[in-house]
Amino acid sequence: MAKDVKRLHVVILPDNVKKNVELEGSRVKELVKALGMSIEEVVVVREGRPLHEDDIVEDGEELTVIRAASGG
Amino acid sequence: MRMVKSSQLYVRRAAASCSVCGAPAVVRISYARLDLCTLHFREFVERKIARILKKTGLSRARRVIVAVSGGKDSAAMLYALASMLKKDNVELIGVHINLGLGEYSEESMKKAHELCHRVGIPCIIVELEKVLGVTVPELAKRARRPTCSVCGLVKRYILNAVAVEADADYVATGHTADDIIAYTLKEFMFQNMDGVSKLAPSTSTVKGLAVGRVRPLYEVTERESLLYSLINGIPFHHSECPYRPRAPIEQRIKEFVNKLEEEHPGIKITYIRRLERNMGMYHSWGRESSYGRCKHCGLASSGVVCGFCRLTEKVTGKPLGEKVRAWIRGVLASLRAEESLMEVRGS
Ligand SMILES: [Zn+2]
Ligand SMILES: [Zn+2]
Repeated sequence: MAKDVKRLHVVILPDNVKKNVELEGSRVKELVKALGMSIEEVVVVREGRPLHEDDIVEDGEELTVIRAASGG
Repeated sequence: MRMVKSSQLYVRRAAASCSVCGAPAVVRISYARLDLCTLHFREFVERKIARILKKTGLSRARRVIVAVSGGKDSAAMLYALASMLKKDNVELIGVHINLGLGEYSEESMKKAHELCHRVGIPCIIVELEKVLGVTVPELAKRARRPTCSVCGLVKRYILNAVAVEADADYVATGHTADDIIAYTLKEFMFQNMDGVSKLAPSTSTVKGLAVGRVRPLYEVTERESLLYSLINGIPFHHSECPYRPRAPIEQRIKEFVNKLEEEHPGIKITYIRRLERNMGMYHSWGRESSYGRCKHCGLASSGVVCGFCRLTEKVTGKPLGEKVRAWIRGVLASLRAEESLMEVRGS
């Protein structure tokens, strides 16, 4: 059961909040949902490269979630 | 070693491929039923911008003032305009206003300067503290007005003043589809149709008083402008303004609309396109706005004295509109002198 859980280290920008997420899915869009966000308001980046919402995340990796919304 | 390995994995495991060329896709545009690679995503965004440029006549302009805040949206806009308008011989002049909001303003100013340099256009940096002797927070505090409303007033005034002095055809700002949706929904809630009609893709010029606005990112969402900036390696400062209220209405509307978009893909672009189509109607419902001339600075004003001159007179004892205009004339003159010097050197 615990085999399917992925542990991810997430940095959320611009807030610069760090979170460890135990994800029961495997795709970028599932991570976004687990963070309580909408795919329409973020871009997820791995090593400087933007990921597609269907891309697979890997156990133990570090990802950056950039919120698109800005005050003005 | 690990870097190489993971990027190989990345290529092999790209879950979706570009609907146009089959390369690994970086984004899904749900409402258009498209998966796009970086190249075709860039084309997709620039096509939406091109529509607005054509509609507003921006590609036929002689000179355009581009408002550069240092943030991602205006950065994406300037980058796109610089590459798209190169062939049309439109002269672009970047303007950045340092509002004096501490560290946030300093970082934004650096990025704005870096970006203008990168795309090869002149950048006029207006540092309020140096030009006026006061910053936005000081103005707001001493005038006992909300910081955001003072900030908006100052930015609008200075951009217009630069555009009038430079004899520009337009001021381009980086408002995105999400901004336009949030602002107009707010205006609809308060039934301020005049406010709605001012949020068209472009507004008209009143010769010598007010230069028209154009919003090239009118159909581009914030997420699209962020991704466009990231894939093109455009420098920008990603941070929230420290003076922003805790929960601005616009922010709440954006969050709500994005949830709606997720459940009903296409609702945002449908709204934006229908809004564009109906702008004439909202315009006719609005107040008839007749511009007068401010008795101090000579720029557009709804009353005898413009908002900027009123504010600065209240705070400093003197209306500072004319002072700002004179400062801008000086900067523009030295910019022209530099340019003709470069032409002489170049030939
Ligand atoms: Zn492609
Ligand atoms: Zn005035």
